[in-house]
Amino acid sequence: MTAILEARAVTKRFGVDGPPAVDGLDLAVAPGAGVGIVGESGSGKSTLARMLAGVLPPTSGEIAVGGRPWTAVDRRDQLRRRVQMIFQDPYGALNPWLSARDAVAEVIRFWDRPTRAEARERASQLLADMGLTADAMGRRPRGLSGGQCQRVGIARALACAPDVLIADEPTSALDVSVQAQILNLLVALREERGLAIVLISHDLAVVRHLTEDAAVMYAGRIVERAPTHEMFRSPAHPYTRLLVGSIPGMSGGEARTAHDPGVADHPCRFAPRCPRRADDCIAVRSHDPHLPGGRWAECVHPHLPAAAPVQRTQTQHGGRT
Amino acid sequence: MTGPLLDVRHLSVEVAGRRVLHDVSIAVDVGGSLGIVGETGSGKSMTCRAALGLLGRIGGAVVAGTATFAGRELTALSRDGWRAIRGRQIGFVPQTSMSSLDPVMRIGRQIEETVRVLDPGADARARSLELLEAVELPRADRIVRRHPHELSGGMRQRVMIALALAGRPRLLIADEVTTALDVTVQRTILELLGNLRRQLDMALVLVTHDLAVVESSCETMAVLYAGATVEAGPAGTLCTAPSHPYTRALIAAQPLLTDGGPLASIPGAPPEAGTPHDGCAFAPRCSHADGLCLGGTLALEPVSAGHVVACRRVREVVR
Repeated sequence: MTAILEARAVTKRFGVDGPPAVDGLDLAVAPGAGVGIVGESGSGKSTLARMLAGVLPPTSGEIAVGGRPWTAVDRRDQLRRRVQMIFQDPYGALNPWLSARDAVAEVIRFWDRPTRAEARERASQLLADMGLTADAMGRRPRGLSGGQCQRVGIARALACAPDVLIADEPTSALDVSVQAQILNLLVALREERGLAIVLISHDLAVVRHLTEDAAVMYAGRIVERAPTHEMFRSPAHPYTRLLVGSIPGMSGGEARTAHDPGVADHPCRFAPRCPRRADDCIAVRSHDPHLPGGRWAECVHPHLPAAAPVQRTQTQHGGRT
Repeated sequence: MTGPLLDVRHLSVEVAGRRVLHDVSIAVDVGGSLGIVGETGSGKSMTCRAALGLLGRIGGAVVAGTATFAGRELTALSRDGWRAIRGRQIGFVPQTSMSSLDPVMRIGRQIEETVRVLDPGADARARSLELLEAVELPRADRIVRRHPHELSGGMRQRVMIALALAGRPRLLIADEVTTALDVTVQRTILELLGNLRRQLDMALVLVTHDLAVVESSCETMAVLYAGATVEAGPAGTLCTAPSHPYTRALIAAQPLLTDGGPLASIPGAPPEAGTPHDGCAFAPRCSHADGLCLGGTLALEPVSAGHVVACRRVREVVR
């Protein structure tokens, strides 16, 4: 199946020196796919999200939507509707002076130019589908809870009738009880509308819940790709292992703690922290990342899928990272 | 001394005429560890403020209940009385390390200043290096010359812990200290707090919204909802066999790494802090509630040894 959204050798640099935020990265999103991107702060995942959404141009490489590069897509081009984004801060993403209904109607009027009354009618219907009461629709963001604001943000994205939803930490600002409502809503939207989702999150359990495929980012590169459940059951890259093993209630995974300036310019950016580092790791960029069992990891000494899975040491409720 | 080190009972607090805490009871033993869990507006941070005597600064006051530390009543303390407790007996690590450190002062001077106030007999310079080593920061001699912006989030959080240890407290209260950190850094900070607790025989109160953090790091746990303790007991019991409908719903609402099935979400949202209510504050969102839950008064009742629950239908709920 052809990808509707595709990143080809995308690099983004901020400023002239220092390592790139995103470093020669490839990613394809097929129609209806659920792709999770996990990584720590500074790994470049939000920069990637903004480039995928077409709001930040890459320094080199190309992001294509429906086969056309974002650079060739005009602001009012209908192609732009196909990729929409929801944000981490549900309040900050909304105009404080507009009611929930007007915030959604604004998007509908921009794209479809219906009458004012018709736009409001469609906005109300969409917000009702998102579970907002008629009373809440008339309120401005400050009068809404975080969960309600996130529903408005999702309604604004859906008003464009997108094929892909880019969700950058959509639930990290929400309480657990409200997070579950939003996650269930996103699962339902994927099923009902065949929506593809690119989920950026530091919360591995959220990624596990919402996506079928996952990619782990470290220092601007994807270091491991796998079906989501496989990745968390038996991580192949030492970094993924460290990440999964650090979740409270999980064990396994380790890192070097001693500072080692000798490997600062190592082609494997995880090398300074990697417990499996060896002399031949220097060839990591030319090493074949395809592993037995259909797994993929940019690592010369990966944990092969047969390795012992990471263990649960207790009933594990979270998975927050 | 017998009895808990910090013992808060039926604490009620008002801020600007709004009752933000209704009935908070928490206890932590000498050298023990307690996790306080709750969502936004549940009163976690307000409880910390009360235990540190910091309510006055936001126009708040204790209107009912008691809080004792090592047998001494805290709610009636004068400003001078608090000075002997805050920092010296009870240390505090706030959530925001960046805004709590002076951005234009070197780390060393900030710690030395604190040491001079809280531990005047000590050699301030030597003691600050000792504190930085205690929080396992490598090359303490270099860290003291840095400014806060030159340190990573995890390193700054270690500096905040070092500051809280300056007065050699018997209890450390840590408010959401790992919330803004990556999971790998979170693990090292939680391990550090556990090590310090054992080495210094210091009690720990960990305030968080993350149940998994409490389960892995604390012996006991208290769950707060809308300004009241709804359930308290051994952390393992509360996480595996919770009794209060809210605790049960909270656990069911957490996405699991091992299972991708639909989540049991809790309808509605937690009430804003200070919203008045009758009876059980959770009743409007509770699937077990009946009409009687919306009135009357609630008290924490024991369900097993050291395990208390505030729910009038708890017997039907756990059946």
